Amino acid sequence: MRNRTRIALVAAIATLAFQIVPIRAQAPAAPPTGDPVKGKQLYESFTCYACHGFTGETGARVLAGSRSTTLATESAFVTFLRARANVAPPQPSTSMPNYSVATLPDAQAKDLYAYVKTFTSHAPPADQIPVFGQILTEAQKPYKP
Amino acid sequence: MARSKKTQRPVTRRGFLKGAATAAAGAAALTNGPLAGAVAAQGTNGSPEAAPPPSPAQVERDAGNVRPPVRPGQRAVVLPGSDLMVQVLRDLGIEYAAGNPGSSFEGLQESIINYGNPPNRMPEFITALHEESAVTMAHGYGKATGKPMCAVLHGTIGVQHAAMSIYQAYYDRTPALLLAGRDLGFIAAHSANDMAGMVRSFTKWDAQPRTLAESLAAIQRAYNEAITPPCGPTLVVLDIELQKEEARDLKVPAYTAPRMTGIDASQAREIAKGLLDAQNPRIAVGRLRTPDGVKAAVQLAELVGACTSTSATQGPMSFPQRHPLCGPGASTTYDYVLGLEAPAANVSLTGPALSTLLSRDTTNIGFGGIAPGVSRAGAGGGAASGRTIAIDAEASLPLIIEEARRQMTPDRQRLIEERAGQHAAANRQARMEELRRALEQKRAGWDASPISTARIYAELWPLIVNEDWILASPSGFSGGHNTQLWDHNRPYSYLGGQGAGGMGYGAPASVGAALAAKSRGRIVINVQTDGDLNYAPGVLWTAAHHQLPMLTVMHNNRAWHQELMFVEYMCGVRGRGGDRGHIGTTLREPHIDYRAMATAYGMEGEGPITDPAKLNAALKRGLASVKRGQPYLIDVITQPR
Repeated sequence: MRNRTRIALVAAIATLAFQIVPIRAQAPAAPPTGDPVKGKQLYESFTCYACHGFTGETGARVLAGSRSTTLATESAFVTFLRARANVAPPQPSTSMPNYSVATLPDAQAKDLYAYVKTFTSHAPPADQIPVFGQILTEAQKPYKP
Repeated sequence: MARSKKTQRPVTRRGFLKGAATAAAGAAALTNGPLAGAVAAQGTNGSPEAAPPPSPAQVERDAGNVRPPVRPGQRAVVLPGSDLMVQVLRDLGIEYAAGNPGSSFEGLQESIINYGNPPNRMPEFITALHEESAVTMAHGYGKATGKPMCAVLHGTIGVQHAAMSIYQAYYDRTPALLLAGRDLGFIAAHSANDMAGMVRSFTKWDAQPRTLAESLAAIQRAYNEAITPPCGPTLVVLDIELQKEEARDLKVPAYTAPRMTGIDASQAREIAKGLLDAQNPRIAVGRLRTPDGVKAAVQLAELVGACTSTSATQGPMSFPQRHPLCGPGASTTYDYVLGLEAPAANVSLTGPALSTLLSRDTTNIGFGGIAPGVSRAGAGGGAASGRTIAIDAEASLPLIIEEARRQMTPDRQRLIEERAGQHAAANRQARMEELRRALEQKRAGWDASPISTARIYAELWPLIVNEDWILASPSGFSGGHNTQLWDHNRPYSYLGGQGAGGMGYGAPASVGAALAAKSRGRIVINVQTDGDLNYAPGVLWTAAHHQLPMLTVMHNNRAWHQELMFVEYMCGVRGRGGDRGHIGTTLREPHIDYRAMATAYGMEGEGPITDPAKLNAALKRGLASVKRGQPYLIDVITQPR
């Protein structure tokens, strides 16, 4: 391929991409169809808090404000729940469990999604937490044996 | 009235006569004495597996039928053997002996509390409510100081109660001096021909001396074995007769400290040359034995201008984390790496492993961690592709330092100073960048209720940064936030994990560390997981009783959280419902009130705290109490991790 052709092709792809991305970004995700109140009960009874915190703000996988594709849409979330490993490994695991239809029917999975989507981060910015300022100040002091 | 451990019958602690003559007399008394009916009933109703009925001598003792001294004021024994045993402990510098009272060491206990001037010092008797706690106290003390503490165990039952803790100290290569009483003539179920046999697989050395003189020598040897690498718990079984016999003119044998073998002069020359010839040497520091070893490691790194790695965020006795030379340095292309109890690319000095003791381990217990070839906690020394010299690093350091000084030239000195300055600047920058990244993560859930574990550690740090502190509890289950937020600059800053992952460790290890801290003007922080505390919470009483400087902050997530996740995963993969994972893994319905628990054991405290805004003031109150010498517990309801 000649250079000029290659450059033109790259430019065309870039233009297309710039056109597509804003369109996709602007498209509002379909709102959850489940019941967040029921979802909260499921979040607690299925001990989701164990890994995601009681408010979705802590733990191994923070849910509040997450941009994970598995949380982007309701269907992606349900698909994710069904697609986890369903064979117990020899070693104990703290991975995300699989949830089959038998364990968590679609309606409940959607309730759970509706609740998870209510999570928001309430954490202040780091520079507005006084204790963090003290920690940084202490760290800047010379080392004392 | 005191009770002999695990027996149903209360027994007094008056004199004890033993032997055929007294047994015969006791038998006579038995037929008419007040206990005759009870003993007879126990004898006829006891199952074959039950403990045998008390001997006539025991019954006589229970009834108080003992002979008074020949003359008023005359002592039964002028110099009991156990006085000499205590003198040996005193000479060895044993500060504390923790125990739960038991008849098989009553002679030794009496000597600890009454012998010497002042009595009950070196060692001081520490009242434990469980032998498992007593040994874990010694474990925590050993990690905080590099020296053994004593734990006293009562017969077969005490040794078995202590077994898990002994195992953890062994797996953790921590010195501890264990003394077990044996009384063959009292309660058969509490005695054994080979008392130490039950724990031989996970003690470094044991002895069951036959004479008083042998006993004294055995205690000295047990101490030496405990502190010689591979360090570990050792056990001496002391017969009650030897504790009580008249020592007469027997003297405490002269003590000879063990000689720690280090590398020879030619090896030291080679290593010193390697460090000095290199353009960018590095020293990977793992866990050394004592604070002196840490001091020597710092001395060597400063002498040769090497940047270092450390295992100080994993456990005790390693390089100061915020020393200017600790970190990746100005360049990560290292042309000579020396490992001190850590793997390294060139030469690694690694002391004898527990695998050298496998001949004692008939059951191959815990083989996964003890077997040869299992690496130690990594300390950033890179792949262990270099030569490993199986020798104690700490004992080798003085000779390397001496050689490095001998080979030093003014040109080298100038280059080293220049390089050290560059390392210091680079490490400082790396530290600040790492800290900022960490803080950005730790702010997650900052205002959440229940309270985030990161907030506990973050709030604590400015309050203790200028104190001489020990974090004695393992932090792995609590997010390990100290490793990023705190500076572990002293050999005892962080005491690391349980050893073998056994629960019931945090509080008693903290009490042991607090015993060390009390006499050294330090304070102990115990971020206490709730599941762990419930194994042996009586240790809170020990802390209160002995007025130990220990702040306990509950990481109360109301669960055995790791197991909750495991079971939930199993529920998921088996597809039989996910809403019962809490069964057997949570501590709810009812919630446990840890403040009330502390109060019940005589410890001040507060909580439960669920509002993060109230945490800081509570921590300040707790630290103020601890600095007054009073332990304090704050129950904090937390996020799971």
